[in-house]
Amino acid sequence: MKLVTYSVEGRQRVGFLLDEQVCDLGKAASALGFDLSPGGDLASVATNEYRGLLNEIDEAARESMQDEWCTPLDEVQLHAPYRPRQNILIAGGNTPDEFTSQRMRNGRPMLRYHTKAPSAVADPGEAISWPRQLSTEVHAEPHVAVVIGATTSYVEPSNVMANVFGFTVATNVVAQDLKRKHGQWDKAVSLDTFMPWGPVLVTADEVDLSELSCRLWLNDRMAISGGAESGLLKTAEILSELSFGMVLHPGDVVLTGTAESVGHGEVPERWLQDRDVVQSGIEGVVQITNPVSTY
Amino acid sequence: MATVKEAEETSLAFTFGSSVVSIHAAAAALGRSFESAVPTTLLQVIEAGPELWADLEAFYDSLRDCEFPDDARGAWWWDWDGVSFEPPIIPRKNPWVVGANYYQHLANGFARIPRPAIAPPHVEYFTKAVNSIVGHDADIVYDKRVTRTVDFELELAVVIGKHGKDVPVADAYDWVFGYTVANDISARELQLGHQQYHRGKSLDGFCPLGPVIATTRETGDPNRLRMRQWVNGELKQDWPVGDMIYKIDKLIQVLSEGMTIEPGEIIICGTVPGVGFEQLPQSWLQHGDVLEAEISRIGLLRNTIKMAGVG
Repeated sequence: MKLVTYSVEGRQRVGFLLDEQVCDLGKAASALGFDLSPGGDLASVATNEYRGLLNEIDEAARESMQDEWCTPLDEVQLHAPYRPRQNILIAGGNTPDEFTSQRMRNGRPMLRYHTKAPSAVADPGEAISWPRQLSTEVHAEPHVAVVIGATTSYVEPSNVMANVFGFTVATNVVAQDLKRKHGQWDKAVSLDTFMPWGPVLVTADEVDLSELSCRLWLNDRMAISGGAESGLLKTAEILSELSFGMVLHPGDVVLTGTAESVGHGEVPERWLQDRDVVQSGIEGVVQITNPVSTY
Repeated sequence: MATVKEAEETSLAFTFGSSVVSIHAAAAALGRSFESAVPTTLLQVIEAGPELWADLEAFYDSLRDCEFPDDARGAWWWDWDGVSFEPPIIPRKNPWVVGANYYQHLANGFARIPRPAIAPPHVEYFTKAVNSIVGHDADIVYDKRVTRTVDFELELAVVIGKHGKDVPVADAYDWVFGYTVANDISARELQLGHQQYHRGKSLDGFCPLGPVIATTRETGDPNRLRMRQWVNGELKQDWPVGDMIYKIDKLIQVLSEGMTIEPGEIIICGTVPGVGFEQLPQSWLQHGDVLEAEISRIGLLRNTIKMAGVG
């Protein structure tokens, strides 16, 4: 199922995509005779507990789509999936060229796990925006965003993917100069609008990450491209490591790393500027576009 | 104010010395009404804004000098030991924590890994996971497969009262709702090994908060408070809160540059000398250790360290 948060006529709803239509999840469920009313935001239904039910609704809706609960995609406004209930985890330095900068433990690199405040979440199309006097070295990275679907504590890599609800793309916007200034990275990635993500949250059963590329285009030129599982640690290894000692709950979000570290593939590095357009995508699954506007 | 649990029921509470008063139950019993309904969590109270705070403050004042009736004990008030304390607040984003914010802590901590004992050039902010927050008297359970270097760090936690962005330093205290006590429990080998501190600071149970949030009216100037921490009754940390390199107003100003701070957001201001990391040899917390972290005019936060699989 492809879940979205969208609005028509100013009202925000939870929906799912069928071809070029957006279906209202609550209305579709009740029309098709299912017991599901998305009370709050998308996060309230994006749990593995509901996954079977969601798939049944998806199938039933395909067979009997009705105008009362569907709207053409081009008539709605899509939003970020939801605001996570705690900071978004980021697997920092999960790229082969960062290998020598990592410490090792039990034969594995110790990634630079850091976090992004949920207040940074931005909708598709919303401007990525920051004060020029605060940072002059902002860049953007495409990440796979993993949405946790079940309480996850001390789970081995071989089992942990069963606890994933789904995947989408996130643009991890980073102020490199603030990273250096503060030493710890959390503030440098947490400015308002520094987390465009979504809009389509695809359930895990529809995605095989090992087959996919994660890419970033800067003004229609491909700037970063790499396999979604080409990092030093695979998604399953990251989630498992985090779950050892840090419980993950449904709705928690983990960004698993980017293909290249900085500079948008250019030497010297090319920083974001006013009127740039940034697009991140997971090939064939989801993409998000945001303009840049400093103030 | 506190969040307490008694007989499986969670209540928003005032504390008076060793008495704990359920705000909702006391208001109902005493026929006290409020301009607007009092929400059920402290986060919602803070988000509701200053009119509700003033109303609650007036109710608090009216109870301050009361003799609580014996027959209402267990109905709308309890003895301190008769309730369990939940975390006073669960914020909507990770608590921010400031690294190396007291000179003497810098000198002690980094003498072992050569680095000059001077002020860091800028504020160092990292975060502790919301998922790691626990309350007063909670056990902090570590697993030796994950860490064997658990340490304590007593810190003042600032609770933000309203939205703000690019907050001017001169007005920054206007953004403070109140203060609580935090113990920034740390797994040192993970903190330093991952280089970014988040994981080493966010293991389950590693962010005890509480037991109460004292509003700014109760604390007065936080820089005049004293902080002390005992481990198994032995005094380990004892320092003036106000000795920060970057003061509370500066921490708020810099954090809010380009980033909206929100009601209920927490800024934990850094620890003071005496942690296990600074000792020669370094010493780590063990199964059964009891931490008592106290800041004057706020309260005493007690937690016990447990190792998974023991007892």
